Amino acid sequence: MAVLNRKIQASTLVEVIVALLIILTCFGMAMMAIDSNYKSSNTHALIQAQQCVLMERDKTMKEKRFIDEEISCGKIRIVKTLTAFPNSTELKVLEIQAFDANKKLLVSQRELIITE
Amino acid sequence: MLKAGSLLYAIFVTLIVALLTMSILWGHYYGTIQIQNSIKRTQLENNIHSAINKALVFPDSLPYNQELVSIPFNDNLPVTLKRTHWGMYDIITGRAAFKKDSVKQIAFVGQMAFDADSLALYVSDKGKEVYISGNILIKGRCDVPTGNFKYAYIGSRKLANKQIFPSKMNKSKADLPKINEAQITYNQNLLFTKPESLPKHIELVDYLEKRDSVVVSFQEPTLVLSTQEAYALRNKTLIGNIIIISTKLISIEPSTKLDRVLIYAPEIRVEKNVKGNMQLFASDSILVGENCLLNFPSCISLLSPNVSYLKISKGSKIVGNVIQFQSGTTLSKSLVQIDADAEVQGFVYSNGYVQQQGKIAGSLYANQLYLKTNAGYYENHLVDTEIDFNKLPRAFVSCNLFNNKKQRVLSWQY
Repeated sequence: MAVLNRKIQASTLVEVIVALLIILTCFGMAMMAIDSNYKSSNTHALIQAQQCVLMERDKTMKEKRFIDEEISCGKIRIVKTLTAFPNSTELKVLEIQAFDANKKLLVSQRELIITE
Repeated sequence: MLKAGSLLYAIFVTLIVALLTMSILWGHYYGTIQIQNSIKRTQLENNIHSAINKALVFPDSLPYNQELVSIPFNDNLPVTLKRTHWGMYDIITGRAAFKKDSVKQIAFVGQMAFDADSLALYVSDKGKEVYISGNILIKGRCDVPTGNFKYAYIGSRKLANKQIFPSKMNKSKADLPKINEAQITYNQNLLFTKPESLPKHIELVDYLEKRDSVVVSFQEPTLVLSTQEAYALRNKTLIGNIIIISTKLISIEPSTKLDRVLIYAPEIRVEKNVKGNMQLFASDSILVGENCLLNFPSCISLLSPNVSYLKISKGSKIVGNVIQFQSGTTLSKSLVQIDADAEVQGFVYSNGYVQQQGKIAGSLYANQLYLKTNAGYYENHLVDTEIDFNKLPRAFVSCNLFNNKKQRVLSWQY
């Protein structure tokens, strides 16, 4: 067994408490920053909304569902509207909007489609 | 005085936490930017689709070979469109950009085949009635001289089984419905172009000698391969944006795979059992051997000021169009021969004679019908034949054969 020849200087209780306080404050601030960033950007809802809009667009084209509709897609509400395009009976403006539970608009897409 | 041994460790740990937090925040920020870019990209793609759809509905708004800017919506996202020929079809290229991101989409465009007319058979009125005999099945509108069929004995054969379900019988006019001459002229010019006059062409024989397979994306410039010798395409794979122009015979062997390739030559021979997807343009003759399968969207065209010959042998199937057009005459002596057990899904158009003994799932437009048997030659006779417009899929898009037909995207190219 090795023999310890010199004294090891331990930290005092005050030092340890101050160090822990600094670390905890830093952690706390980091968590708050991450949390607020996630909440403000709404990334998860945006991804879901985008997927829902794309799915609804594909379904509309595949099944030729050229009608105004309101559909739920998980927590996202999809509003689909078709409006006439000037000087054409074949063309329609398909607009698909995705809203969250607070009726905040997340994604909106427009496309000119041929309905005949 | 307070000793700061632990504080140093605390500051070190704090630094690490700060770094970790920064990286998480940066990663999250980057992810959010990516999602926003993806949404923007989808919007760009939608704008291109919108601009192309608008150009399809208003075709005159987008002339050939001109770049035009279209703004489908008031969102400051303009789309640049360009229409070019691709054999008997068109290509519309759409480009849109937002900041550093840009999207390019390429659509193959043809004409909607299905319409209210459902025309199965059109034979021009050249003063000769159409006679039918043997096993006959015709579904769809029929426009024939006198507005009705006559029954005939061919040798010892009489009408054995008649299944004619015309949605309407009309008296045809003296000439065929007018063909899209701009499309014909464009392809005829390529057909009679001297390879040396082409701006960017590569010698076919040398080029293919070094390569077994060539793939050219439609995002890239067209690869034009030319030759002045007869050439057999053997053990080659040619895919995409490729045009072959020859002044002599081109033969396609079954070991060769062609996908969306255009071939211009005086004579084209498609050997037995060839499978692929191609547009063939010849001025003298096209022979399609037995058991070939030319997939959608294929097109076989005989375009010539002279008499020419096109044959589709038994067991072969063409999904697309078969066209014979002799310019400068109202009644060509050229012949399109569709053998028994051969099948065309799409339109057959000839301003000459058609010997139709196979199956057509679509429409037949002919100036005159023709039949050769052991007993002799017959004009305007149909024997043992099937023409069924209802078998054509509703979403079928044909080549740009006529003027003023509704245009549609048949496929997206990458």
